[in-house]
Amino acid sequence: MAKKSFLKAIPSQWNFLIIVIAIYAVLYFVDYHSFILAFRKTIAILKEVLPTLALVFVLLAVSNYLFSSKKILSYLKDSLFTKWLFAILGGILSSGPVYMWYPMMADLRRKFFDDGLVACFLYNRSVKLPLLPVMVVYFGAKYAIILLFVTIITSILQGLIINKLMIGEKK
Amino acid sequence: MSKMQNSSGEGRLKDLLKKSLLNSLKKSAISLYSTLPLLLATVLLIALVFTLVPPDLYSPILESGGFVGAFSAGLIGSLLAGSPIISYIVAGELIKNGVSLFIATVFIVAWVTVGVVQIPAEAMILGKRFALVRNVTAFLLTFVIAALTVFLNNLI
Repeated sequence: MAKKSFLKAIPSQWNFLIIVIAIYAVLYFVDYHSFILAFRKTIAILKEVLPTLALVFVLLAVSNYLFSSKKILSYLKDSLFTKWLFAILGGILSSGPVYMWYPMMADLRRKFFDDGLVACFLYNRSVKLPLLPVMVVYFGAKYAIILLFVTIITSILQGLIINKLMIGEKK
Repeated sequence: MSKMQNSSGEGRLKDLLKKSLLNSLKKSAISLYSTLPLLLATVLLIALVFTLVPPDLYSPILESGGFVGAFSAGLIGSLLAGSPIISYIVAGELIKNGVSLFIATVFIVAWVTVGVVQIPAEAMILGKRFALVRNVTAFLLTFVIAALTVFLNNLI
């Protein structure tokens, strides 16, 4: 009982880390050589990632400061072009877990959006501007920019496909 | 009088901006803090997998470059969830181990555009058919994006 409440008290995002640390602890006793190799590899990866995390923090703060969901909604107008533009920019600029945006998308679909625009918004959530520096570190600026543009174009394509496939579906 | 009103208005605006900035910093700190344990655990796990599972074992599947390699990368990317940084790290390590840029791109794009884990929530709020059609088309488009990106990357 006490054990159960102790586990419940640990935030869920820490559970995974605790399990992995436990695996490392077992490895330490079972195969010390592999433990050292894996630990060194961890340090090497962290050295690559950590400096860019500082930049991610700054960019996250800037995007949180400039774009609140209420602000984004206030720019929504009736024209089709503006709706697509909103779906693309809104998706790119929105932050937080994707499921946080499902209720807002359902609401928008009742009022202004069709299925294609909802899909376009959700697809553009894959574009993470604050994480762009990390991608540049790993794959180069040229690749990161190309992927960004191809993703945006594909989001429109997906929106149009979804509109075709969802014809006749009751909301 | 009007000068005084202006200066108090400016002060209020400054206070509001300061509060908003502090709020943004707090929000990003919370967001990053909540990702850190997952990020650290993933890095530890990746290092462990790359140490214990020799590249000879998985590389042939992903390196094959054909349908099986790309499909496996897409499937794995679709099933896994979490911060996109993690997918960049994994894909970066895969490339270092000889996996093609096309397959690494399929993995990254599937990771961020297909959400198998979120399908129940999406279906509940936006409809079963919508969730299914959206995720299936996103999965198929993953290969289009990867092919186009690699093609343009080589071309430019």
